[in-house]
Parts: sequence; C-alpha cells; structure tokens
Amino acid sequence: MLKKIVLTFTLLIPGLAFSFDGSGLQISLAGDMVYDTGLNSGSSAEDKLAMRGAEIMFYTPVDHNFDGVLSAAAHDENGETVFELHELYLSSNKLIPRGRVKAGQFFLGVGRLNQIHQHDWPFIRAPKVHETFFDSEGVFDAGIEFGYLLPTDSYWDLSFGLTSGHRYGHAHTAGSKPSAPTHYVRLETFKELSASTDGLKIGFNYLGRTDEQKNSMSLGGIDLVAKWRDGKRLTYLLQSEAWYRSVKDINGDENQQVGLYVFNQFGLSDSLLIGARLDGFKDLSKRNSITDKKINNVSYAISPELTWKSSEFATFRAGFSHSFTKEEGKTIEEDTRFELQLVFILGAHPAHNF
Amino acid sequence: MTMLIKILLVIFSSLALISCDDLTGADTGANDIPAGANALGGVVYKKISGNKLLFEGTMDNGGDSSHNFELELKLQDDKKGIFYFFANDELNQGMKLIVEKIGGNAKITLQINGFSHFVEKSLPADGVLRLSFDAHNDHEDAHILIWNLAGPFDDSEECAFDGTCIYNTESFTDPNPGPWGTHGKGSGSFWGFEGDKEIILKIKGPVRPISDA
Repeated sequence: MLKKIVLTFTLLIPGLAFSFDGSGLQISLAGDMVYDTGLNSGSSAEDKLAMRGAEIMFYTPVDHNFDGVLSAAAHDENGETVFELHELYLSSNKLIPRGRVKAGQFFLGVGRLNQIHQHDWPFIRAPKVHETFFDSEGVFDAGIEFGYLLPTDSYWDLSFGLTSGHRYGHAHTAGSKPSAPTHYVRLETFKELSASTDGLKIGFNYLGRTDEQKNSMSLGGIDLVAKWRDGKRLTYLLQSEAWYRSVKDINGDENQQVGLYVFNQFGLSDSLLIGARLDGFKDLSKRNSITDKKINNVSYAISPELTWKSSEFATFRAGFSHSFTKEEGKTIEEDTRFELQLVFILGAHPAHNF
Repeated sequence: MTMLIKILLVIFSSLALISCDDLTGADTGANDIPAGANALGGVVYKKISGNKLLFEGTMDNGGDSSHNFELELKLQDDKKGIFYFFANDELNQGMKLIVEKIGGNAKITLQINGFSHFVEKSLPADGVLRLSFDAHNDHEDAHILIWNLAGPFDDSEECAFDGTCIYNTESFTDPNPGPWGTHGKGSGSFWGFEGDKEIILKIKGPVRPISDA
C-alpha cells in the first residue's frame, strides 16, 4: 500500500510541476503602503498608514502569437478597500513585422507615469500635473493600441490608441457613451548616451476625447527619462513630464492648464538613492467672475526623498513634501507633510523597457 | 549627454520667455473688487442676464475640481431659489440646486445635465435651512453630497439611509437612489443664483471640499 502511495506521488508531483511551468504562467503580487502626516495646519495628510495598493498580476504567452496579461488592484478609498480590474489584454508583437498590437483594457500608452504601475514609480506621490490630468494613479480604458517601430536609422516608435472613452480619470460610475472616444498618439525616441548602459528616452504625446456633454478635451505633452548607470547600479536618473490641457465646452468656452515635474535622483550606493522632485502647475484661464480679469495663479511643490532598496523586491522610501498655491500675490494653500512608503513584490515581476 | 544639455537649454530658454509675474503668482489686480459692489449673504455678486446673479469665487482647474459651499436660507412660502454651481459665466451648463418651501418642509431638488431628483427635509424651529454642499466635479459623473451644516459629514454610500447625510448621488439603494450614474458633470467654473434673493441669509464658497470620496 505504502509503495503505491509513494509511486503515485512520485509520478504525480513532477506532472503537476510540469503543467504549471509548461504554461509559462507568471504571477506577481505587489503591496504598496504609505504613511503620511501633516506638518502644518493646512495639510490634507491623513496621519495614518494606508494600504494604498495591493496588486495581483498574471502574465503569460497564450500561444505562439499572443501574450495575455491580467492585473487587478485593491486600493484604499476613504478607509474602504476597493478592488478593481486594471488590465486585461491580449497583445502580440509577432503578427505584423515591426509592429505590435494590444487589445483589451490597459493603461493608456501616453506619458511616463501613466504607463507604469504606481508601486514602480521612483517617488511616493503623483505630481499635481499628473493627478489633475490623469488621476492619482493613471487612466486606463478598454480599446486597442497599435505600435510601429519606424524603419529609420535611429530609434523612432509610433503608437496609436483608440479606447471607449466612456470614462476618463476618476470615476465611481460606468460613465456614458462619448461624442468622440478617447484617442491618442505617441512618438517615442531613444538614444544611447556615452556608454551602452546610459540612455535617454523622449516621448511626444497627444490625447483627445469629447464627452457626452460635448466637452472636448485635448492633452499634449512631452516626457523625458535619462539614466546613467555604473554596471547595474543606477548613478543618476532624470525624469520629467510637461503637459498642457485644453477643454472646450459646447459653447466654445475654453479653459487651459499647464504643468510639469522634474525629478532628479542620484545613486549613493547599490541600494541607497537620494532624489528630489520639483512640481509646477498653472491654471491659464482662471478669471474673477466680477472683474472678468484673469487671476494670476501658480502652484509649486518640492519633494526630497530617500530610497533604500533592500533588493529589487523590497523598497523603503522616506520623504518630505512642501507644496503651495499662490493666487494674486497671496498664498491660498500650503501643505507640508512627511511621508513613508513600503513597497514589496512577491514572485516574478515584468521588466520595464527602460 | 550633449543631447540632454541641448534639451535642458530649450526648456530653460522657454521658461525665460514666461514673465516673472506668471512664475510667482504676483498680484495683477484681478481680484480688486470695485468699492460699493453689491453683496448678498456675505458674497459679492454681479447681475447678469434676467434675474441671475453671478457670485464672486472661481472653481479651480476650469471646474475640473471639488469644492464645498455653505448655504443658510430662510425659506418662505411661494419663494424659490436656484443655485448654480460649476456653470459658465452666463450660469448655464452647470448643476442646479433648487430650494423651496412646500407644505412646511424644504424641497431640495438637484439637477445636472437634464437629470433631476429631489428630497424633502423638515425645517428646524427657526425655519432656517442650513446646508453644506460638496460638489466633486472632477469625477466622470459629478459626485454631490449634501449635509446639515453642523454635520455629521458621512460620505459612505449608505449615508442617506443612515441619516448621516441629506443627499448622496452615489447612494444606489433606497431611500433616495435618484437617476444618477450617467449624468456627467458641470462644464464651467462659476457659481451664482436666480430667484428670490431675500431667502439668502448667509452663503460661502467655493472652499476646499469636506469629503475626498
């Protein structure tokens, strides 16, 4: 009897292992916790440790032509953990020479931060320009994206996307059919710098959408990432995005905003990095209803941060953030806070392209 | 590295074209209200077409933002007031809050892009309706929460059922689910009033929202 049991397990266990490995299925789990505390009376910090995100991701080749991705995340929304599907798409880079296609639900392929999961960002919180134009994490939608590597001597990659546009940004509802769906185009270039490990990537982006009420939004922006490495060690990172947004309503009334952030990070050692981000934002069309004159306004933030990477699977970050908004010579908002972040990843994790 | 230096040069040269005032948020006189301007309930207003009053105070980001408003109103029989939020400068394209006294109670009607719903609320002994109005117009479909001015300020989906808010457009079950869910949002950045202005005792806004739901 014992021999039969041992024989059964001996045959069964490798079989199970083979079926799992044979599928190529990769599973990644990521946890993102943030603690913040306000250092001035105007701070909107929550003074608590929030489970900001818990993400589970499955990805695997579906067959010889297609890859599949499913990612879902639970977020803390006012103390309640809300679970939502982030990505569910089929993609291929084998069907069309130099081309790749993606269909399903995914983060829109524009900008830098919008294409990277929040727990992989090099800083704790979204810059104001990203939060205002793309929400605190990013904009995802269901549709199709097509990319093509142009046949040029240097690297130029052009991608287009068309998604349903029923929702854009922060939404607790299903949205409604837009007058013009979300559409976007991105032209990206990459250049190797002095050594093969150093590089610079620049993206030029346009995104448009007209909602059911005929509010027509246009977004244009540039993103830039430059990295210098010493072997595998990151010695210097420069990351920046600048965006302009225009929204025209049915009567032709237009409002415009512009914003940018610049993040510099230096590697002090293999595991320790120090960086600082400068944010700027301006509402170009805010005007006083009584005098009908444009209200001069500007928002700034400076956020120095220290990052310790125990490994690529565990990251601890501590930082200060000081932001303020000035309007017609008066400071109308000021927020100073201290923040801590802990990110960990269990299992495999797909690499970012740069 | 050379390319990066060129890019940074272009960025900084572009910044040099922007005036210092734009970069520092300096005073240009835009908020200098003429002496003797009309005020209602503590807020300066300008009369526009018909019986409409445009209030001072502009929403952030062209109206893609969240703000709170405080309203203290002495309702009277046969008197009616319509507040406009996130509307254009002609007080169109926004959300409307209609307040009136019906059968001794306050009737509060919310209208957004043709969707409309109302609740009735008993009035206190002094007959003054005191409301805190949180409008989250940076959602795909604007999220509106109405509370008693003194609180509590519950923003959960069940707050209308629990009696901890007067109204919540994200209450999807009885007692007041409303027609909400595909109603869109206001597309302007101004607020104002139309109707019998004698019902207004005190108003305040736009200020930072109470809820971040």
